[in-house]
Amino acid sequence: MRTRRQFLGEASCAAIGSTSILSTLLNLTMANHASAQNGPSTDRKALVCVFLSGGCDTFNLLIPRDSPGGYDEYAASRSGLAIPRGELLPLDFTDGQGRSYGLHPSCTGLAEMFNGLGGDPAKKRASLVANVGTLIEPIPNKQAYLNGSIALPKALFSHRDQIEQWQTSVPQGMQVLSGWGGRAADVIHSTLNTEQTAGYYMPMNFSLAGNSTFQIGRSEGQFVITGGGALSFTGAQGQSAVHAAKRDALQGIVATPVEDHYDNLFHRTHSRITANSIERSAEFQTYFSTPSSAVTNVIAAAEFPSEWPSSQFQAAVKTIAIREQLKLRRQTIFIEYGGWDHHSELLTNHSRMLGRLDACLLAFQRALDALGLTDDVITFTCSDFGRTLRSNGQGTDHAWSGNQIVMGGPVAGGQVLGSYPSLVIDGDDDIGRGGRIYPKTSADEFFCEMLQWFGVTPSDMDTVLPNIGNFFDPSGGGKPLGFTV
Amino acid sequence: MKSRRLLIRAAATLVALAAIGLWLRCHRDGPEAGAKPPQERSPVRSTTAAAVPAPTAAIRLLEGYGDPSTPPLDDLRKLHRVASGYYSVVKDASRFPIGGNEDLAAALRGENPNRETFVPAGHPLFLDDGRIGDRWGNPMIVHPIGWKQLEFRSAGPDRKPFTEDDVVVDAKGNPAG
Repeated sequence: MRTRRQFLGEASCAAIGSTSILSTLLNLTMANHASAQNGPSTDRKALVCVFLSGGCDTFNLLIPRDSPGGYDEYAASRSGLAIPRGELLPLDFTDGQGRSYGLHPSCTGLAEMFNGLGGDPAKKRASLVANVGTLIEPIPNKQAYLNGSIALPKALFSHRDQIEQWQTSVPQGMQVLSGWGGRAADVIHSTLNTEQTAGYYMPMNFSLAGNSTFQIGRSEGQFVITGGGALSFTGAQGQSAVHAAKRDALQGIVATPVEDHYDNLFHRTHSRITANSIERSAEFQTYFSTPSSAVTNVIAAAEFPSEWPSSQFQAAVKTIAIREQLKLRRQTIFIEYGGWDHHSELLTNHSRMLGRLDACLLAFQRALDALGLTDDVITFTCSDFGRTLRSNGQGTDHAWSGNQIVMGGPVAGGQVLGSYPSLVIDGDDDIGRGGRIYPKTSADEFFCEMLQWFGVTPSDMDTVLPNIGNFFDPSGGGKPLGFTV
Repeated sequence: MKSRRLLIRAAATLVALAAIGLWLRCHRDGPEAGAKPPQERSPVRSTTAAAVPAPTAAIRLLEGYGDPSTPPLDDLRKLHRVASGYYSVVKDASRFPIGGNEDLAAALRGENPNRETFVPAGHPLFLDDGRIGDRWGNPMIVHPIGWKQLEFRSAGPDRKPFTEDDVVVDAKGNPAG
């Protein structure tokens, strides 16, 4: 007979994936469970963040097509990395300056969602936000950047800092790290996820990519899952005697008040978190692993690609589809697709990865549409930074601003929003050293519009996005960019 | 009293002569005079072969940089130590961000929040275009992983980056690649 102490000791051993345990435990410290409140909303919404880690070269994703004009600037600055104009996928959109745009030829699905699924202009599901990046305050012009009169994000151009800042939306840095998705959960989980009553608790933030700063709040955290669902404390559902013993011990922990076994406060807390985590995992897995036949059929028909990161998108569909069983009216889902740091072999690798991303996005949207979830989900991309316009000979290097995708039924599709920059090297929008474009739209504005739709009130917006007041007045009644319906 | 004046004059003369001598020596041994004749593939000169005026701590760390008698990895380790020293002095993480070779090269020459010169222009660390070079004359690849965390990559003897003969130190200064 194993004691619970023995079990917990074993749990720290390599027999159980320690990373999984740590992820689960760390992210299940959400102490302030939602108490039942009478919320006015019965709608259900999800925000899906697709983080393209490594720094996607999005100036080879969204490309000006007008020639003479923007395309010629593009071709001159990108030289050997320029996509031939004839290969661009045309977008049915002309901006206020008369510019037209095209997408990288690998993005056929995105082009279809931009122009209208199946050729139907009523089904424009995607837009792009141009020239967006991390900012503390607006940069009025290049000179203001150069003379140092503007507060600037910490450690621009570096992977870790910029990944962190896209996820915190606090580019000046934070003493205690939290992400804007987590802070959004802090303010809305208890007020909008009102079906969680009588001690039931299910977090609203789900990460398919391990621990992410994005979803860590001050009181709310994230629930780390995989393509197969909740992380298991006993390994991969094995049938051996060891697995059986672990399951017995687990059941014992869950069934018995943990206070009975531990004198030490730390041990008690640790054990309670473990027990809660086991319960949440079991609850989640019950629904996740037995999706309705409709969900199974839709995923099968959506033509998801077989390669990574397809499994994350498929798991996201299932997690959204079981939201009623989980008693969630609001969810965030974090997906990560890494490998975009193309200092070399940009043309080949970027094209291949964009193709995979495109296939995943299209299949994901198809699945949501087929399940009647079109109007309930906004999916958006983020990435560390844009890349230099100038080629280093084989690829491009770290820069700042870039272009991002936003899609879903709540998105007014078919638009290029923001202010697409001049792509002239050393031009007005380049802060120097190889075509590093500074952002004219802040990540805060991009996020704020999605958070408005998500249900964050104007009075809570500066809790979630502390710098938003430098760019936009949330209480003014408008939208920062205008991409939501 | 008279002997004291004579003593002061003599001392002043000696100081003046010493200053002139030093100035002449600097010019004779300066970067132009001391530069090696063009070599097959060694635009980065060993610092042992070139005189540098005011030896900063960074310059001392770079002694022997590019010396063909030392392993190439040593060059990258030296550079990593210089970068670590830079970050121990420059605390402002926002202004003059370092995104690559040109940024770091400029920062070491004084384009940094402290306006401090760590390695003067003309030092053999720099290529003719001002970038930091490796011993084969290629620009060093400076890859910012995070604030204070720079990875360095030399393209190696084949001069093609991201191939098997690359020499790499990671952000902690350990060999990688």
